[in-house]
Amino acid sequence: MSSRDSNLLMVNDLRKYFPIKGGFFGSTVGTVKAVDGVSFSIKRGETLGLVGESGCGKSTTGMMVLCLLEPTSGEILFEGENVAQFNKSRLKDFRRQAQIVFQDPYASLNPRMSVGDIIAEPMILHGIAKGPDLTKRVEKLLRLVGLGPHHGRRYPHEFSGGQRQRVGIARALAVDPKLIVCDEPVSALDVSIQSQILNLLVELQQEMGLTYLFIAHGLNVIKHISDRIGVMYLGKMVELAGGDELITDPWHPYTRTLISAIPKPQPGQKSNRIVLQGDVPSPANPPNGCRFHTRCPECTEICTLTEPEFKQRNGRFVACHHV
Amino acid sequence: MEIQLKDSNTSDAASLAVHKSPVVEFLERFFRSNSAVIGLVLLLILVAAALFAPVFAPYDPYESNMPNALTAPNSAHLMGTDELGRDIFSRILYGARISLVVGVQAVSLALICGVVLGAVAGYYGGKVDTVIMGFMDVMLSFPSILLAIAFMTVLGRGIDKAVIAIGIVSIPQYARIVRSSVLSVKENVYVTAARAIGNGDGRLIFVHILPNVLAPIIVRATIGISDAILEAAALGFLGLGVAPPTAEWGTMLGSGRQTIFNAPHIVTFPGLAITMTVMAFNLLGDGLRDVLDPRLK
Repeated sequence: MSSRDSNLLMVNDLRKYFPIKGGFFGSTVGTVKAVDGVSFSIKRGETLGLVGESGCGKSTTGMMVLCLLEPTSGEILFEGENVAQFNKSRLKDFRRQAQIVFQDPYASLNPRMSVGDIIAEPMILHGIAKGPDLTKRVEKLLRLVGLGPHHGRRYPHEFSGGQRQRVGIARALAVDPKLIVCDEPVSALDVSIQSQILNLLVELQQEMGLTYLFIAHGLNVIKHISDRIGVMYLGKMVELAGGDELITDPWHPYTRTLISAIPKPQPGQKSNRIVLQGDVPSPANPPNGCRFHTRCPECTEICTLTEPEFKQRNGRFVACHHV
Repeated sequence: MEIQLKDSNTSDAASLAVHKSPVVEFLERFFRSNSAVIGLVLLLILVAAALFAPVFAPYDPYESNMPNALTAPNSAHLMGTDELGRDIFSRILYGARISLVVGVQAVSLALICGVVLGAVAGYYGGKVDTVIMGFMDVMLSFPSILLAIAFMTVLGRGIDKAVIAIGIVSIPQYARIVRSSVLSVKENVYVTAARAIGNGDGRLIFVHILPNVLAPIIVRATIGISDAILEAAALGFLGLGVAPPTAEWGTMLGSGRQTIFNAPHIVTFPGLAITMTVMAFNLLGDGLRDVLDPRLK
């Protein structure tokens, strides 16, 4: 295929509309535009952070990238191939290369399966190992994520949240994937455990050359581990830039409010917290013009009328009339 | 790395303290439930009666003794004799075999079909769901005994035919329960996770979804056995089930009904046997519902 430094994943103008059923006969009375024209790419070995508040479509995007949800339109290219056109066997092969770590470690493990079986299952399904070799691989994976081989016989309910998330990571790693979508992997965990899991993910990435699409709802979690960060608001990407650039010099007003929400390390430190007024508008009926204009502190007339383009400038992308 | 090790070590100790195999945990909870234990004891008595009928039965259940017909319970005939002078106690012991076998077989048949149909309907949804569940609703709209009678007239008499008729008639109940449980379980993140690692539909349904809907199915099946036994008895009473002279409780009730006023014992004891069996399965089912309900843990 293409050279080493090419993009592992490319997403072009991805959209997902959910119909709202209502009325007597279940007719469609509207659509929720969960994801409405999102484009980005991820290079091999890179971590792309995807950040935005609840309901902005970031998880939906992650699910579509992994073919777990069918997009309404748009394309997803994995190593240059359109994943929408995969047949059954090619899709299974794709599942071996792209994995996911879920947000809630309490819900993402089958309560009726032992941890060893959970980790072994992907290897059995893809014919990677069997017999003693399988046992050995399971033990190795358990150790890799900081658990012991004896944990394999136990059931998920016997573990803490952090340990469960390690199991979830081990399951994703079992098939030796290229891409892992981390769907808010630490937001359900205690703060003290969060950094352990994040460090583990970073170590694994360096060791195994993984590529991450890292979804989070706050910048404080992903600013340290992302090479580039995309900021989403109401189904659209509003800014995409290198991690450091984005933090030190945010262009979009929404990015600035997110950055102001990062907790400050020193208690006395002055914080210029920008508090947004109102709620996120309904994705079933998004505002005209710029989607952020209803809450934007820098809103002018043009923002209410025309939608800003997501355009490139100095190697970064932003969708705002005032940049 | 050091922090990680500490973390897993300390929680090791904690989880070791509560570490119990699921089987042990189930047994403990089971024996704490009164109704489950009473149901189980009654059931064990019935199973023993059925298994060791030849040992316990004082007389041959099929040997008629006309001079002795319709004797009230006495020391020689614990439950009296029927219109042909056969010992009712012996016949009830042998009848337990038929009732239990009919109950278990009919429920097994209904369970296999019901689980597959319900799981497919719940998992795929849409048109498949509409067609399967529409058909099930049509079946449910008939009184089940009426439908069973219809099947029996087509299939003919006999114990195996009764099993088939009762089994088919009770499929919709299982299909409904399985479908609704599958609908809720399939939304779990671990099902999505299983799909993400490359499971096909078949493995998703049978490995990841069905084991997690087992509890309501077990409860329904236990109570379903008592329904099946009742229906088998009803068919027997109507003369459509097991053919006489086979010792079957419902048939015994049916053939005894002419003499109900001068020899009430002839219907009392088969009736009591049916009641006790139905109660045993109902108590067990109720108990299991409590034991298996994770919200009560």
